[in-house]
Amino acid sequence: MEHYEMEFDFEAKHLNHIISIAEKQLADVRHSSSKQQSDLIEAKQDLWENSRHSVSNLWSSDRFYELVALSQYENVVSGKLSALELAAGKIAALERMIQSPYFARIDFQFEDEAEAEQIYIGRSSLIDEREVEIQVYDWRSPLASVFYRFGVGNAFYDAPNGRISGKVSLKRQFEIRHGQLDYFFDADVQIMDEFLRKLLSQNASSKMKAIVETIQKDQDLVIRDLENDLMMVQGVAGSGKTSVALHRVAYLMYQGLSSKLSAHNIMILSPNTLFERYISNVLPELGEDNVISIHFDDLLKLILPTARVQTKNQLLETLLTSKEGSKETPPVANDGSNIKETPLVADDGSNINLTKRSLAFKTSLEFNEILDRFIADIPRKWIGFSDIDYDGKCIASRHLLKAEILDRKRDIPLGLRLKHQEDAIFQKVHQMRKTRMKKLRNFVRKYPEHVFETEEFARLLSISESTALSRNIGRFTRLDVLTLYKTLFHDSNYFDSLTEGIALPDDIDPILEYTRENLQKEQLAFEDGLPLALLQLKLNGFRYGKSIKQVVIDEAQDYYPLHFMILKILFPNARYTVLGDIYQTIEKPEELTFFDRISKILDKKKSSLVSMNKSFRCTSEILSFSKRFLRQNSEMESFSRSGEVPGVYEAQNQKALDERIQEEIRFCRDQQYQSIGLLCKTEADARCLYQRLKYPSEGLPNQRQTPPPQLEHPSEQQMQPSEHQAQSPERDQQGLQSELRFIGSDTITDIRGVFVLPLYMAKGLEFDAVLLCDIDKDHYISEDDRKLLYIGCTRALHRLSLFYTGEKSPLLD
Amino acid sequence: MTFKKAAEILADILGLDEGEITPEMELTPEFEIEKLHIAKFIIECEKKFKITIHDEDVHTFRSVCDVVKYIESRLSEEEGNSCESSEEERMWWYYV
Repeated sequence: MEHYEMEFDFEAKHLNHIISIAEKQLADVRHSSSKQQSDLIEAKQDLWENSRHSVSNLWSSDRFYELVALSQYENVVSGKLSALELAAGKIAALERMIQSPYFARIDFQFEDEAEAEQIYIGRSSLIDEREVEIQVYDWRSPLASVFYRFGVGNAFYDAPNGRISGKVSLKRQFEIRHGQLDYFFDADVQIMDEFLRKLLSQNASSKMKAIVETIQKDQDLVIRDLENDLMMVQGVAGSGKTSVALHRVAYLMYQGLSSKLSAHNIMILSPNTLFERYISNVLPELGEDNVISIHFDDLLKLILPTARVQTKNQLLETLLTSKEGSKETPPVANDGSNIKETPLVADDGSNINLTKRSLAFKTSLEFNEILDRFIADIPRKWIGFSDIDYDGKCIASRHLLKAEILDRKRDIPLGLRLKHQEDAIFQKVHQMRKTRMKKLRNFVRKYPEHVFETEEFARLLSISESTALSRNIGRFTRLDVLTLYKTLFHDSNYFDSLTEGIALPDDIDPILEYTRENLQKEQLAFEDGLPLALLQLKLNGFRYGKSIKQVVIDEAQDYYPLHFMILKILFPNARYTVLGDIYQTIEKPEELTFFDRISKILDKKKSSLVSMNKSFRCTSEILSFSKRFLRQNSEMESFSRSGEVPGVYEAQNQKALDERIQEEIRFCRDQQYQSIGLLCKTEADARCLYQRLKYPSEGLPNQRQTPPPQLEHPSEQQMQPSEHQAQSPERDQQGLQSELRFIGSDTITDIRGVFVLPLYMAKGLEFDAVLLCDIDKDHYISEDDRKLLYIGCTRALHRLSLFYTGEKSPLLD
Repeated sequence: MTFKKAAEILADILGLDEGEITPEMELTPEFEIEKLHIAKFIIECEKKFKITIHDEDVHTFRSVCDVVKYIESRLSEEEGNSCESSEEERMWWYYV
């Protein structure tokens, strides 16, 4: 112990030393930045006085010199501005550094050196400029990888100029808060696990802050991988996929500092705002505005700005609320006679099985092939070329126009070829315009009775005939993607003619009929939105301003082949990181072959699939409870951290159920759980529960008669007896009501609080405590419902409870 | 400033005060702009800015702002400068 005290003394002194360096640097930066600030104000005033005009009106030749002069002022201002921004970033980083400059130390003896060097690792680096010495290494630096990958003993890391070997003689982790060293420990694996366990048992929000320090070896390999163009991760619930993705982004940016990869070249596709939140909480040095994070629905909106497309959540809501869906897989197939032999169109018009098969077909690679054949067919069959006349002459014949389009280079999108054709026609028109205008002027002069000036009236005539001309040409050069898409389906025989050699689903006719019906509606179905977007991209092409170099796809298991086709066209040069869990799909079954398909579609030179099977999120008890909802045998392991056994609670009626739920919420709040999720099957259910809890029934019925809720599987720890509840003042009840928040279609921005939300929206999120509501046989019976329950259960960190009234869901057995 | 110059021209044609012309002003009879006014506007803009406005493009002008944008893009085209793309376009893509 004496040794520890000595070392502690040493580390505390070292910490103070580092902090004093950081403080000195901070003072310097602050000083010079305040000087810059006043320079900037001066420069801005100069700019203002010397140019009363904006830049945009200077793009004409006679004002060229003014423009040059103005741009010089501009450079002064923007130069100052970026220096200031840089300083602001530096100040923020140093301030963070003073609070906690590093979290780890390794003693690394380079191969050809006699003594080990002490390497301190932090969230960003600190370089002492006077002594030109790195005091703290950024966790993303090559040397820091040793900390994540090796224990005490031989180790190596890959530096830009080759592999460097050495020996680790010490691995130490620190807990530093507010510039004070709380404690440290020298890590061997066991202690590391203990540290991790302690950290994991913290609540969700505080845990997020500490991830950098706990990156595991296999996670680190994914984070630092630069070899593969396509990195795929199959990670079970709670294995830290999101955090790995985030750190990978941070690492790529760090790498990009030298290879000019700016943050704007990184795009994250995610169904929730987790990334933005993580970025601001965990790695503020990433900068919140620097990475583009987008939902695929919004990407579709950018491709199809005028179309109204059903969102994924709307689709799920439809699928899950349908009665058809819940009957889809009868719990016992008793008498062989399958009653639900896929009726073509259900009486309520919404046949879930048909929707699903239609969805699967129209988002498949087979359908992609059909689209390609259709596109080849468009100029032959579906474009009405017409003769174009101008000034009394035929300047383009329809046969020649068609031939031209068919002959032109096929690798240019059809829409572009047509646009070029239109431009070419107008070039001819422009050449003839002078002559035409002369004729028009003469024509106007012939009728001197009108009061208009000749020039204007002639121009007016030219404008109106040119408008008509432009409309005529546009009729065949401008493609209306939606009309074309409808054309594809309008005639089953035609559709058939495009499908030779392509495997079609058995019920292709009902699917076509269903699609035709859907296409009449104002809102496009989700399943038509994807192929329509793909058609748009294939027909009209796109030019990419600044290309995206890295694409990170979160919750990839929810995507269909067409999603990846679209991404491939949008970001052809990007490297991809694809993260998903095939066990967490809802409306479709998925297997490991999923990743093979992605790999085939994206078609990258080097790809790799990594499995992360250890779940760090849930307690062992929650995890083993969740596993019952998995059909496939998952290799999921838990990071052994134990907690309470999940409880299943029955209540006699709704009223009692709500009370039971409130009781549970109160208990969780007493436990200081910061995030509590009440998960319901659908948005409608969630809204209903929210209303009931937020505005408890007008006029309280006599609750006393309600028998106390029964505990079915008594968990180790009984809930507080109801007498205790009776003592809790009304204030408590009100507090709960005001704290309760409903999450519908919006995404959560802060997970602290008590939330009511539909299960499918909880994907990717985690809560300290999860309450699954309405686990009865009406709500949860189908295969989809089973998957929902799996997703729901695995959202819980510490405590999981399930509630139902009436008959329990058979999926629980 | 393109808008200011264009507004001067249009105000002159319509017999309005320059300040009464806004970028959102639509080129329709509702705003007391007749087709002949448009033709005149086009002719005068061509003279003032020394550019050609193609007659087949005129029907795409909904408002004064559209004309201004068109003139600006013609100006930069004729200068040989590529059109300065907006921040959004730089981040995303646009269809050609």
